[in-house]
Amino acid sequence: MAERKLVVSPVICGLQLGPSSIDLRLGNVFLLVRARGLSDVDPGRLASDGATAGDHASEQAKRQKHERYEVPFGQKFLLHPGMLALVPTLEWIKLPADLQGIVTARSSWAREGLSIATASLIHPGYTGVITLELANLGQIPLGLYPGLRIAQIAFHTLTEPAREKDMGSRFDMAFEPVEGNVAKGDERFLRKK
Amino acid sequence: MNAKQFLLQECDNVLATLQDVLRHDYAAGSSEEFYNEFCERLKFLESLILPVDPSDASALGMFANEVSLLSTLVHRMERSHAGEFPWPFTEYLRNLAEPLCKESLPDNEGEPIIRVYAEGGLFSYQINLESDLSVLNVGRRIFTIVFPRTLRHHVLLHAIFGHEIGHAAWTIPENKSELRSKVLEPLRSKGHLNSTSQATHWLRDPQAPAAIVELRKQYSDDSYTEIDRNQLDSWFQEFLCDLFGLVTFGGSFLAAHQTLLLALDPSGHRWGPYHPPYICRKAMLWRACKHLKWDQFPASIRDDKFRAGITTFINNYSPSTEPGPWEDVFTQEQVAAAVDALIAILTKAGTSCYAMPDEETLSHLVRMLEERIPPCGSDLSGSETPVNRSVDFRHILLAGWLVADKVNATADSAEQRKQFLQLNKLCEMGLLQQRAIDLYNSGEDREAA
Repeated sequence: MAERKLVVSPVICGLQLGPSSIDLRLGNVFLLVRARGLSDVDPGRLASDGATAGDHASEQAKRQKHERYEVPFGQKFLLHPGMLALVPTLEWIKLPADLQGIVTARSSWAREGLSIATASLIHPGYTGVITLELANLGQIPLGLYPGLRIAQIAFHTLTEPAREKDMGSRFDMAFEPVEGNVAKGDERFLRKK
Repeated sequence: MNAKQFLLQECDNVLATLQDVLRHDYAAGSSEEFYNEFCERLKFLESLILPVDPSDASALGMFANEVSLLSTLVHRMERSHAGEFPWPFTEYLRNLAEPLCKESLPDNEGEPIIRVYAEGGLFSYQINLESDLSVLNVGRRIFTIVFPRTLRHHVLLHAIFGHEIGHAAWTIPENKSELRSKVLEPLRSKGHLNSTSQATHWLRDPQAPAAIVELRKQYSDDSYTEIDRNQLDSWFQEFLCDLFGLVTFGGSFLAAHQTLLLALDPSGHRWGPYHPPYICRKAMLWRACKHLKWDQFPASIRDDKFRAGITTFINNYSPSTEPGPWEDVFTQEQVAAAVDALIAILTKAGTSCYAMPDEETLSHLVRMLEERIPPCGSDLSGSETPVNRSVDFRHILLAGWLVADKVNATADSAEQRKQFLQLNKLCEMGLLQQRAIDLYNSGEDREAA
């Protein structure tokens, strides 16, 4: 970090630094699936509807999927049981070509039923906020406040640096969560013969 | 249903809408104060309407306007929920503007109720304070900050709000008399804009720049160059607000001012009933920068490359050459007196005036942006006990403009647009992170105390 190859900014206090990990804080944007929006996630429909990026169907499908909430510091967001929320970290992360990040929940939150278990692998070379997929697996709502330490990132050194062409993704330079595209690259398996 | 019954019905409708508005979350202050204020206003308005004779068209007409105004305000409140505007920036803006907009009103603390919403149109930047408190005899003014919806993430351009703070401050009677006597008086004391006849003569000057001569040809009607009292007053209010912008936001205001105003009038020479030609405003700001010694700021920078970048920035927005004689409507002494008086008024009110950052702070922020990291007082040393600094949000905006200028000098048009948006988003993120740092540090201060 001193050489600015790895950046985690800001590390607000020393409490965030563990022996092999750094605690990450909750950002202020929450994306929740919209109850009256898409009724299901169907890669087949995504592949056919979203044929042209920027057209009405693909843009509407993207925008209507989630409700977006911005929560100021000091205000609470209730994550109800069974609910999934996409939330950015407060920290901006830059990984060098020879480091891979692994994001997991802080154990104290995991004990309350909070899961951040899904897309936890951060590729070498990644730059941006990290999107946390928060799910409440417990029986009671969890009050989440922007700025709380909620996750942690640990790092694995690669045996050799990733190649330039293998780095970067559509989520690179992300400032807040965006929806994924589960059909991308698999369209051939989704078309009817 | 007669007019009176309909007005009473509409009061009920406004109340129902007001209650509906509570569905949303609001970032810039709680909805409780707004809700209570509106309930009071509605109750009072109903008490005025109830005894009115249904045939009294004059009274009912006046109250119809009042109900309509309340309905508009409630609708704006509904559009004011978080997510529509950049609230980390808004919080900083609020801190800057609020001290100036307090006033002595009977039966309350005099603090305005702040609402923020987004509006269509590139030039919708506004800060409004309700100006007329007489009819409903309300306790607190509604203070409204309006962002252009399409510029949601363009925090660098939001430095133009420094100008809008001036308009809001002007609404408060106590401020207005002081601003008029201490800031405007020196500007109005002599020169081309000393009187309406002088201003008219100046606009018709045969030695005016070619662009002005061309405009006069386009609008051959004499009334275009005939300046009346109201127009001159409006122009001076614009000059005053430009000084507000410069003194409160510093260099980032110069850049936002030029970018936005030249988008509206690329020639910079047009004038209108409310706005003087941009070139005159720029000339006045040039003199103000000189008085504040901001033109000498690069000399304080030790690093050659960094100093060159800052010099380029200052030259872009406040050139080293003197303004032309036609647009240079104020003398150095006039501008200096106005700036000094304004700084004294702002300081007395508790609004912090902009002071240039030290080299270390500014270069830290610029370096972060160049490395595509949101700029803030973050300690990047990797220390086990990080020391994150409090950084004035206006320095973050200045750093953003410094880097934007560098990008503009090197990248092609499409890349410039992409990078300008990215820089704005990085700065917006930097403001959020700085807010978190400040919150944490202020808690630490309290614990230490």
